[in-house]
Amino acid sequence: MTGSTPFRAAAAAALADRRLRATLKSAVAVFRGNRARGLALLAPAEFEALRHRAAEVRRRCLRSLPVLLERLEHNVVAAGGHVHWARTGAEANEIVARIAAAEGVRLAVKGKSMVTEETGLNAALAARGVEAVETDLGEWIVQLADEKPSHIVAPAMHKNRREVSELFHKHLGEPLSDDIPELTLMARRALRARFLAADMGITGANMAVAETGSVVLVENEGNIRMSTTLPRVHVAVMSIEKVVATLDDMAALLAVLPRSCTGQTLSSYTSILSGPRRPGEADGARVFHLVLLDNGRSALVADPAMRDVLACVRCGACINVCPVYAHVGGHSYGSAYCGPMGSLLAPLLARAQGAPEAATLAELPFACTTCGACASVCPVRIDHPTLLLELRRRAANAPETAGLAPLGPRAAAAFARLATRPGLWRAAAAAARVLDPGLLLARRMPGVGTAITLWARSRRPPRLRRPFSARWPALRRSLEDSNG
Amino acid sequence: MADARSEILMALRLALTDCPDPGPAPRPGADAAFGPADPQALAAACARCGVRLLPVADWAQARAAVADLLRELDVRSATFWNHPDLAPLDLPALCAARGIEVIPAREESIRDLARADIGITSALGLLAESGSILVAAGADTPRSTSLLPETHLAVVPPGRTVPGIANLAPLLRSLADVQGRPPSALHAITGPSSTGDIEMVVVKGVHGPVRAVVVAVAAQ
Repeated sequence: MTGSTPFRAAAAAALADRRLRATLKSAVAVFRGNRARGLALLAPAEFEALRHRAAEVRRRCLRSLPVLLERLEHNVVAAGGHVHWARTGAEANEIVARIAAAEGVRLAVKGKSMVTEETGLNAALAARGVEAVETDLGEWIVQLADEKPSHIVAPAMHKNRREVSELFHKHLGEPLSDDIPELTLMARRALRARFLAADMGITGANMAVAETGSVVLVENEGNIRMSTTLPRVHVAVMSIEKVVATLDDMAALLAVLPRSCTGQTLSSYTSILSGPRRPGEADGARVFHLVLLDNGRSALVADPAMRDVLACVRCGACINVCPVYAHVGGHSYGSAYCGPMGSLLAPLLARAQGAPEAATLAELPFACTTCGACASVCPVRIDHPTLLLELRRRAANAPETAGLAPLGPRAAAAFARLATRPGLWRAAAAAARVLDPGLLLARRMPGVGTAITLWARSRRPPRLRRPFSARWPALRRSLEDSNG
Repeated sequence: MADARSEILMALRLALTDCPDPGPAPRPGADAAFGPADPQALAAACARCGVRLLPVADWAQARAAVADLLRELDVRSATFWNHPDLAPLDLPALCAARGIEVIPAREESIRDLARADIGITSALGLLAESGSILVAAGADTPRSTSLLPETHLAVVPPGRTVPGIANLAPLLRSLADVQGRPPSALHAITGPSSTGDIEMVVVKGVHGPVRAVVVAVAAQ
């Protein structure tokens, strides 16, 4: 396929935006440095043991998902909470809107939640006359700018201090400033008033514990504690795959989640909430609702080759090491989820939901370089590249997405024959080395030529040199000569 | 059409026919909530996460440390838990002596705690691995005390060392009520509230406290 696509157009625009590229480059460098410093506190074998345990927890809990969800429901109800089940994003939004209406809610404060981003909850509530204010600083900035988050952990990563200041000036009437602590203080003042006035707090959930009916929330700012402590009603929206069996499982995931995300041993606030406030308590929500959202996950569970994608704990480590993300940024992906985990989850969920954007999102796996950095940092050992290759294979085999594959089926089969026969490959490479070392003529060939042209558009094409193994003896002689 | 609950559960059961039920979860790791104090590990963890740790030998020193802090921060208003853990400090007298306004944590006026310069709590435990202050919600331990004031001070009685993150599981089990329910909220507070959302520059003090201080009383 040679034409432009939404991803290609967005990526090209992002690549041309020098300011965005500089912002992305420094932000991912900070993330990588923080993680490295956090992990340096442990012996490498120690962190590997924690990863091993976390990976086991996620896989085991996915396998007993129905039992765990029933146990979770039972224990949430026993703790005085309510549980709702939603097949689709629209159903989840409807449930939250009904709770808001029944409780007479006008203002809701929200903690950062990828799932409600996925369902488009804010717009659904606005349509019912409920104002939903994002309270995570980055998410709030993005909301004021009427944009989408560009990173699952740092939603406003694409904005610099000047742009933030201009937003605060426009929306809050604050004076312009390029002092980041001062800008943060403006946000603290503005949002504190909203926390104190809100009727309902809406959060996601990093996980839920079936054993106790607890919802676990991990954050640094305190906005989630505010949203669950002051408003009368707390609604947590969680996708179904996030339930774990026991408190030990919870601890095993907490041991890797912040470390992989920000390098912290634990985030500033880890809250383990079990139902609403009890009699005699002076604060905490009086009413607690847990909304369990499927939205395509059960279909993903039914796909054994892809089930592993649901092991993801949303730490963002794969995003921060991905060379593609670091160049094109989160908005290019056209989904709430970006980077390696997003390139898997977004097309899989869209397809399972029968969403119209499924065909467009099917392109995301083709952006991967298969470098494997994501798999090497994943705290639950998801093998992203292998899964992304499988998605490419599926896209190439489906009529509506076959055009995404750079090689047609016949050209791909021909290339495969060539690549699996060393003699043939050597002969072809030797011929090309003489006739067309820069692969300039090859680009005019049908099929393969198109693929090379596409590939070379955003990369430096390889030069067809003799293989290193063939060049080594001469190289070694020259090295020995120069070293005497 | 089946309701959402049965439809989702049915879909999941059908989806998982290829793999056997894994059975009960293993219970590796920690089986005790508390462990021996490790002052060095705790001090290092607190330094990393921005908790100011003030180790003291006994309750008299703890009281002096609290008085010093109130003076240093020029505290004009305070709120504190009405909890037996804090009884040895006699906080009402300490505040009265310094002319500090005490803001009570009442259900109907809980938002007033946002006016307090300092919120004083005890803690169920100190998590040595991460430097976290562990607090649970209860009738005499409101959540807002550690959240709304500008400074959160936790005065921690001796023998409350929780060695690692894995020990959170037995700790929560030990806190279960007669019906087996854990407290309505358990928070691991690991430093002051912070953000890095503007240009990845870390700023302390966003929505929660700007400062987190621990006075840890050593075992005699």
